[in-house]
Amino acid sequence: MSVQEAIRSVLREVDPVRLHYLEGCVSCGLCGPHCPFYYADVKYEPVNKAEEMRFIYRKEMTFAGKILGELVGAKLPRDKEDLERIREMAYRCTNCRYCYQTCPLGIYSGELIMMLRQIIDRVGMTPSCLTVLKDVEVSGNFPNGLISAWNEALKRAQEAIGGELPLDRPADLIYLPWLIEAILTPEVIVDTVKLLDKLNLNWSMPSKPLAIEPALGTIMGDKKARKVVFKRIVDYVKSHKGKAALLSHGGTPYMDLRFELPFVLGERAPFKVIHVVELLHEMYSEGKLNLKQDGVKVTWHDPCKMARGGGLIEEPRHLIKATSKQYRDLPKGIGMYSHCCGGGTGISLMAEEGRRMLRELLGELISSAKFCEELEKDHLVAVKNKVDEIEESGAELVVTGCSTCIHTINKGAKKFGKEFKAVHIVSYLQDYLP
Amino acid sequence: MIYEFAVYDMFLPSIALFTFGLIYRLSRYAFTYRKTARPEWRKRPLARRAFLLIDSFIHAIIAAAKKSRVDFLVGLLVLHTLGVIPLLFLLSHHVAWWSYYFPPYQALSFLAIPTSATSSSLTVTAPLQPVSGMSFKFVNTIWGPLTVVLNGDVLAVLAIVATAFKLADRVVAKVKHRLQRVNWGDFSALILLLFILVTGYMATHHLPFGDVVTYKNVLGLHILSAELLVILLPFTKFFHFVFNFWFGKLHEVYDIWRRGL
Repeated sequence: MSVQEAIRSVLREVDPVRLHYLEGCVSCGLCGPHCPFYYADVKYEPVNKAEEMRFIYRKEMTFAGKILGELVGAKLPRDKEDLERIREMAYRCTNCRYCYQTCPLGIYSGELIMMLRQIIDRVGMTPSCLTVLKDVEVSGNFPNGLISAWNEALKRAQEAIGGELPLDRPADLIYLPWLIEAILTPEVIVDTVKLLDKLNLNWSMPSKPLAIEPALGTIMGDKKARKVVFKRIVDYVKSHKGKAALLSHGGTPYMDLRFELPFVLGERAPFKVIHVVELLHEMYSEGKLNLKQDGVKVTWHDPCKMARGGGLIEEPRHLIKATSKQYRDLPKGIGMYSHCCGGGTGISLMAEEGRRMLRELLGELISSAKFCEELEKDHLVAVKNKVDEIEESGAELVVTGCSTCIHTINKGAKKFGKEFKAVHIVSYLQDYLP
Repeated sequence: MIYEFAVYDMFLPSIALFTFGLIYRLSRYAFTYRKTARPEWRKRPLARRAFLLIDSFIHAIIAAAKKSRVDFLVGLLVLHTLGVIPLLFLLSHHVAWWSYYFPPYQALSFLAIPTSATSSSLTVTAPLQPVSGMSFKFVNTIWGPLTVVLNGDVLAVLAIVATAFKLADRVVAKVKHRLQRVNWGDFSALILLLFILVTGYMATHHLPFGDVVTYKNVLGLHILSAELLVILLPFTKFFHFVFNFWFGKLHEVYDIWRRGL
């Protein structure tokens, strides 16, 4: 697709809310210090990144922009250099929504940055490591390397419960683990299965992966790819008569399936989408889940997509506080004000560690692009801020609900010599069940 | 000449152009609306929702106070809260102006702010009734001794200093940090605002000369530049004041309600 076609196709999707994001900014810059990438370079403040989209919007959709051009901040990308700058800006964002919560005018710069990713994708400049993964996810034909990681996780889960896994059966609760969890945090799948088995619920799970990290099309702005993957997931849950889809990954897949799915498919899914935290909290509140208590120094890291994007702020804290008298919140902000780990929305997949793991599974399909190497430096600045904050809390254990956060925080802890460890809440709670 | 042009010739055209701009801007929002399927809202208690409604309007302020103290102090507190907003809506001269065109505005006259510290005694003690066709006690306010600091002079100086600071801040952002988000529109909007504030202050104090002609010219420039701002308002960043702030915050409330924060 040409640059002009890509731009026009993206701008056709402007609705009143996006129009407000495009037009309403007063350039106060208050979003800056809340962005994880701001500390790598001031130019990565959300408003400055989003300005790339505003340049394009003004040139294409405003009279003043068409007539006066650059005098009123209206211009289109002219060459590859411009597109590369836009790509750099678009991939210095984890879409963590912190800029949105701290904007005095309620402007979500991340949404405009995602529009930039759409343009970049439509002109074929998405980093190749992501494109490869997305194409695999859309096709549904997962290479042997990925399938072996999946099978290994299921094998471990089966051994953990000492019986057959309820695979591909009709059930009220359909547990949907993703391939990325099998790769980054297989123990989360194992521990979720153990928990579901122990709680004696009517559940099942797919024998084969439905997606890598649904939808990779979301994080790179490919709406068609997103729709194909969402439809596959909805069809699976419907065909197995699920009343709810249960997720252990609290990153983009949770927020997207819970809140964005109707916008993508044009209708609501005929089942609920819940995170395992919601299930456990509901059972705990109803007295169906008893937890033991000890004195471990523990904290909760709010995954952006679960807290700001998903509204799950109090629930995990209730559960963890029930298990530890030494619970403490992170010092720089929690819930709506929590700091992003720096790895979301595809960044951790493009960072060195993520690419290394994927290269081991997919071989030469994952290239070592210069773009990703440059991203790594900025990514590590964001990660360091997060791990420093966790260290400041004095916690020995940081519990969270997102595989990307676990992977990123543990990578950061190792890199910067920190003593704590990040674990998923289902893994953490294993020790506190009677 | 300038004064007459501003008061008698430009007032209605500026309102008409503002109205046209307003309709144009709002119609863009209406025409881009599309009906789509919506996700199920997360259930939360009403009290929680009420809290979030209020919180949505203040949490950005809290965040700014924590992480961007200079911006919070200069931009929000001094420029907006102490400067432009009270000056525009509560300065006694402006209360009279608003009331002339919109008589119910008189209801706010008890909140009017005097022009200077030396006129503060009038606000509490003197039973002064202005003798004119619209005589009401717009200077007899509730602020009492507070008018020693809460007066047009102090607030105007604060607003002028804050606007100049914001201008300098934009220059630093552009020149030092080379931030592309700072553009011609930022500078022109702030320069226009600064011009309005300075001419307003000068007119109040009959500066630079005390003669009637100079006074009327400076006041005319003040009114004319304010009318220019009104005309430009729907087409510039000033629109945040009329629409974007309210739309953005109300949408944010809707968004966090449905997500169940």
